[in-house]
Amino acid sequence: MGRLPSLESLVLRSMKVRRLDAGFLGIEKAANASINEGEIARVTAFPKLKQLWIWNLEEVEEWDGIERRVGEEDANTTSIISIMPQLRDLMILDCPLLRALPDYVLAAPIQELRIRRCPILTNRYGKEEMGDDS
Amino acid sequence: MSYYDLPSVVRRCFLYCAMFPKNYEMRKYELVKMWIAQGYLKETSGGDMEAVGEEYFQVLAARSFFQDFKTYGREDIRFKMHDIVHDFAQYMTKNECLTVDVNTLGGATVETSIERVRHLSIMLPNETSFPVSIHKAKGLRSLLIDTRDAWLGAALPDVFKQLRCIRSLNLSMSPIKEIPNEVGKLIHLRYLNLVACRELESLSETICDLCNLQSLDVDWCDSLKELPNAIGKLIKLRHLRISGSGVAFIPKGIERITGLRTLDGFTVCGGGANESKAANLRELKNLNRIGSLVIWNLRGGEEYVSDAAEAQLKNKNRLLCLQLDFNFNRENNILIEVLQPPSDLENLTITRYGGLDLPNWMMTLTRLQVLTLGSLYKRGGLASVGKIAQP
Repeated sequence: MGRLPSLESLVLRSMKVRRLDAGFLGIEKAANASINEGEIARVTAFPKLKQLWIWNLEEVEEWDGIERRVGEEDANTTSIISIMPQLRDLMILDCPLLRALPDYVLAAPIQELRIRRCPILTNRYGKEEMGDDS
Repeated sequence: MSYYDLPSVVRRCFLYCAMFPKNYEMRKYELVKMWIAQGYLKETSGGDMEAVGEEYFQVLAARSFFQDFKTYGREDIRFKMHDIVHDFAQYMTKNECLTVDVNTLGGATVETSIERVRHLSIMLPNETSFPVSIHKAKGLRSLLIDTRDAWLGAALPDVFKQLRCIRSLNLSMSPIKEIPNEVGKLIHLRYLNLVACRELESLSETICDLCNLQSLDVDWCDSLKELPNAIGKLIKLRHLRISGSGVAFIPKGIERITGLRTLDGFTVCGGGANESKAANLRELKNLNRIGSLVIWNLRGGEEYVSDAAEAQLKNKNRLLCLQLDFNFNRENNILIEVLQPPSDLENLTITRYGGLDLPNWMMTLTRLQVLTLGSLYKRGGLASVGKIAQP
């Protein structure tokens, strides 16, 4: 999905998954592609995504970031990985077990943030910041 | 804002809006269809009438003829006209457009000018008897009736008998239980809006005689269980909307309506009482103008694969918006592969999908802007979102 070049809006709702892993970014193949020594690979996942709504993933606990992946890079090559660089609108509803947001989301230029009925997230990041008025 | 700078074709579309009551919330997709019904829009080499209407709407919106915009999803844009703009439009149409409400009922305008009225809105609260003087509006082209009063059902047969030139009829949210057979007399009818007539139980079979009908909208008619059987006779139909209604299947013969642009609820029957009356997926084969398509209840397994393949979605190069709804079967993954849409698709929704992997064709959709994955609920189905991303 992360490699769909025009994708602006992604909605995931009512899915029984435990983990939103790095696979859904679709960067593995690109990041592992053969890169000549000294070159810099530029990889962007979800290059145009502006809106991400996640709704009623009641079992989801983990949402993986990419820090670990960057650490695994070969010392002779460098990857610049950019994920959801244009994300503006994030809504997460009814994900009661979700523990944390990934680094790339926290770094995104979000203008509209709505998190509702996600008690762990709300505790972690604070009510004001999350726009939680419930 | 300058009316006189507008091209004459756009002016006509603007003036038409005087038919709505003041402060009325218009919807873009309805208004464009009403313009089409009046014959205001001409197909160009560049696009359908719908695309021309969209362009005119943008011209009017950009010049502030419309205001108070609200957006519900990508397609549903609602807006109003300022009172002064409405007054101006009303003035320019010289009594062609009229709103009848409790204040004007029985007034001089209704009594003396009704014969000249072309576009009429009737807004009446309960306990008001039907204004039979409108029967004198023999040249009426557009009729909007907004009432919660049950007299409407009894009044409709005479309205249909008297006002034979109507091209656009909007009875949305009214408490009618049926559309009377007399509707078949409205041979010029092009636009029929019955949205959210929640007590409506049957559409007359004579609707299928309306050979000019372009748009039939029964969204949210939840008491309505069936469409007329001979709906395939409506070969000029461009938009058939049934979402949220009780309609359980699309009747056989839909394949004849090759100009259909919108079909928002094709249900795959797969046995049951309706099987002999219901269209098979194969009937989608020749609907090559389709722009927006929803298919419900796609079944799993080999026996449905050839039907689905025969629908030939990939050849529908105008298809921009597609929803595929499945039945939580593990073998849905075989079926979804043969339902490959054209690569220009912009909006895709997949629901109740029981396969483990997303389709291989997903990455061909280089223009896809909106992706919704929903109700992928079956335990033992998708292992993780990553799994569906990388088949």
